Amino acid sequence: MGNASTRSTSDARMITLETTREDHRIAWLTALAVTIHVAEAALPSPLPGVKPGLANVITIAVLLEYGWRTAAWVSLLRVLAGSMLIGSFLSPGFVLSLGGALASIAILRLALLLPGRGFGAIGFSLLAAMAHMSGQFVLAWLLFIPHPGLWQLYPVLLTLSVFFGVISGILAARLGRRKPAQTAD
Amino acid sequence: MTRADRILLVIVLALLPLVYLAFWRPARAGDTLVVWSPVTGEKRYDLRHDRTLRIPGNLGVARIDITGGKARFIHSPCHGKQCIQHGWVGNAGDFIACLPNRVSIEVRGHGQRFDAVNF
Repeated sequence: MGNASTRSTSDARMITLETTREDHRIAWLTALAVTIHVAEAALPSPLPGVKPGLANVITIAVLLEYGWRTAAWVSLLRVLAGSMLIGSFLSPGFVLSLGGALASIAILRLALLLPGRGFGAIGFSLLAAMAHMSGQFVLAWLLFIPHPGLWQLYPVLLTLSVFFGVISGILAARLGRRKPAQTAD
Repeated sequence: MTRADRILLVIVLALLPLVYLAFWRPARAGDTLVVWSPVTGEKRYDLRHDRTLRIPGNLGVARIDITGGKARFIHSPCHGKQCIQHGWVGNAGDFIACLPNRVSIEVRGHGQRFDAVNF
């Protein structure tokens, strides 16, 4: 991340990490995404394994505001830090979360290649939500439930991901419009 | 909402029903019955030939009826008789396990279909 370097001061044991403005921005945005991630994990879900994925809102808003690199950092750090707070680090759920996050930032990279005006918040969010769910699904099938019966769930989960993807997109678009004059640094 | 967003949304909504059609194939009739028992091991029977199997298990002999491409337990020395209560199985992936007697049957065929997945 950024240009973190060590520099020894007069006290040889003292190490200072130099952080850039971008590092701080990523940290703030990640903290926001982690908060949503953890809050959402605490909510009971009527269907096991189904979450609205509201932290996706932050990823999309960050993508539109600061670009793909920052969005990718925020997305991956959110999964890492969020799992440590929830206590699911390195659990099957964490592996699926990471796979979903990787799939969604990969599809967002491809979606940015679209020429012209390109996608807006809703398009990006829809693609990210579907990629996130599909990535998780394929991983779950390959690693944990290598069973053809699992695919019966796929259409239902895809429908839900389209629904939540559009909602997240609308929220991300609103978040972008209601941006404060100065950003926290 | 940009034009690309709108086009994407229309394409996705149009493809969703196709995803249901692709992944929710109806159950297909099986053609083979696989029977497990601690005494006889794994054995396969053709579901197209009507007959009654006598399969020895841990407690005693279970009788399995094969009629018209379907199979069911008609007698079992177990206590609960859930295997008999389960009734007919005929679709690929259907399964009956009699745990006390340790006799299990599964219908096999092209295009396995499972009613439950657990882990």
